Formats: sequence, C-alpha cells, structure tokens
Amino acid sequence: MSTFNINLVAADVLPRKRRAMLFWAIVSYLVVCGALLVLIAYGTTRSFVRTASERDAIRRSEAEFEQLYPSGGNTESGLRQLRESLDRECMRLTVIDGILEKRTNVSVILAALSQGLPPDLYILNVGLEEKKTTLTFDLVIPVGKSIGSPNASELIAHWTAKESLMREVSTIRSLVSERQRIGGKPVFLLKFECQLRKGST
Amino acid sequence: MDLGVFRRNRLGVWLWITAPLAAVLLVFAVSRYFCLRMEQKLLYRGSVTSLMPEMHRQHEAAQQIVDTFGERVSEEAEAVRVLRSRLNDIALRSGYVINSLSVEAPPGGMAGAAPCFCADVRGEGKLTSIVSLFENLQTPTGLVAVASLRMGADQAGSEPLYKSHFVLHWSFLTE
Repeated sequence: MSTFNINLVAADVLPRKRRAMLFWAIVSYLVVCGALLVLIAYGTTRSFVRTASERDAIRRSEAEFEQLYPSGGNTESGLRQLRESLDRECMRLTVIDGILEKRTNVSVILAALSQGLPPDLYILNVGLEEKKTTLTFDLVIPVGKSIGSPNASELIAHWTAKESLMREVSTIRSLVSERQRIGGKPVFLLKFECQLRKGST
Repeated sequence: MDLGVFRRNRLGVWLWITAPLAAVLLVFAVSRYFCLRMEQKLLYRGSVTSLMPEMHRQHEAAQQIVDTFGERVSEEAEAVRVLRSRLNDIALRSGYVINSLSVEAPPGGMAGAAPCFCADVRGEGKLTSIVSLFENLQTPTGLVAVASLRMGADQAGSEPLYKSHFVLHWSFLTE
C-alpha cells in the first residue's frame, strides 16, 4: 500500500527558501544582540577597571592626607579643617601685616634725632601720645655755647637729610625757641614737632 | 528550528524579537547608570583630593611665615610671663633699668588672631640704652608697637639720664 503525504495547508506553509531566510534572520538578530551584550559588558568592565585604578590613586592620596591631618577617614571634613586652619593663618598674616605696617619705628627716630648733634646739645624731652601722629621733642643749647651752634632751620635741614628718619617722619617743624634755666644754668630751649608717617597705635 | 511556532503564536514572535533587544537596552542602561554614578563620585572625590596638595602647601607656607613672628601662646598667663621675661631680658641687654612694669591683658582674652597686650613701663636709662631697647623690641619680626612715649632728661649734660614712661602694644600669636 502506497503512502501519500498530502499537505492540506500548503497555502499556509512558508516555502523552504523563505523559511531558511527567516531562520538566518533570527539567528543573525540574536547573534547581533549577543555581540552587543558582549560589547556592553566589555565597555562596562573597562570602565570599572579604569575607575578602580583612579579610585586606588585617590585612596592613596587620601591616606597620605589622613596621615598629615587625621580626620577619622572623612577626607571632606579633614579638608574643611585644613581650610579653616588656612583661613586662620591668613587672618593672622593680615593682622601681622597691619601691626607692622602701622607701627612707628621709635628707635630709628630717636637715633636719627640724637646722632650728629654738637656735643653740648642734647634732647631734653620727647613726647609721643597714644593714637597721635606727632612726636614732640625739646632740644637744649647751653647759652654760653650758642654762638656757632646750629639754629632751628639748620637743625631741621640736618635731620631731613637723614633718609632713615624721613621714612618714619614726613615733616619736622620748629615750634618755639625760648630762653630758660635748667639746673640753674641758662639755656636755649628749642621745641620741635615731627609729623609721623604712620602715627602711634 | 520549527518556525511554525511563529505562525502559531504571535506573542512568541514578538517575544523573540523584543526580548533580546530589551535585554541589550536594559543591560546597557543599568551598566551606564552605575558607571556614570561611580564616575561622578570619583570625579567629586578626585576634585577634593586634587585640592589637598595645593592647600597643604599653602598651609605650610602660611604657618612658616606666621611662625617667624614669634612663638605661639595658648594662655593669658603664659603670654604675660613671656612678655615680662622678654622685656626684662631686652632691658638688661640694652642697659635700661625698668622701675615698674604692669601688663594689661586684652578685654577679649586670648580670642582673635593676635591678641594685643598693653605693657606700661616706667624706667630710666641713657638715650643710647633707650634707642637700643626700642631697637630690640621693634625687630622686623617682633609684634611690638610703641603706643605712647614720654621721656625727659633729669640732668643737664651731653649724655643725660632719661626718665621714661612708655606703653607698648605687644601682640601674641595664639595656637
């Protein structure tokens, strides 16, 4: 007895060629998807490796920093502490600058005023008041020695020629010149006033 | 492969098409999300750590400069002790005799960057001693300023002895 295979749904069955094409299309599609997954995994792994090495470098820096400024492993708080400390030092430097900038160098003034005077002349008084910009002083010239002694304008010229003094003082002017007795001896008393560049604190 | 399944089950067809694509997109999105998050965190940590060496260098430099302006004190009593001892040493070296010395602490105590103490000094010495005293007090790195000064010769002569009264503003660095 012969067997016949009759395809009753021949119209619904895809031809062999078309079936093969569909099969390979699906296989290709799956292969492409698989390749994409592999590519993504590769990219992600590379990214992980790169960030891991960066993280190690950062950790090393953090460990070094932690040794210098212990902050219990919290770098941010350590950095904040360092920032505050830096701000404090900067503030100190500003204050120091202010102190040094504003102060009058009294030793320079006294040395410059007294040096180079004839032997019999001497400074009697010096006065510098708090928060003032003037320094006053009196110079004594014994009466018997006054001939040949410098007068007020010559003395001022002598002082203003001194660079060190003029860095501290802007002007020197004579206030009064009078005859007095000091220790029973007659003297000429010359009063001067220096205008300080910075003043007293 | 039985392709008939595609004809029998339409949902199966769409699953075969969309599931691999969805898997790719999902894996891509998730891995990208985590990578970006990690990179952002690292970027932040990196920017924080990159500040460290420069800030450390600046801090060291600032501290070194500040430290040239004298030792740091933490307490008022210590500052007063240092002030008295320094002033007495300098006066002794300069040949200036201190007759009285009173030190006034700043009203705010040791608060602030450089608390300023007032030293009221009375004493006597020759003009050279007084010049030397101020020279040694007002060194370029000494935080001492002369607030007021009164001095007068108590005898006539070319090298008289001066009685003097001066107030110093003496600043200290705190720890």
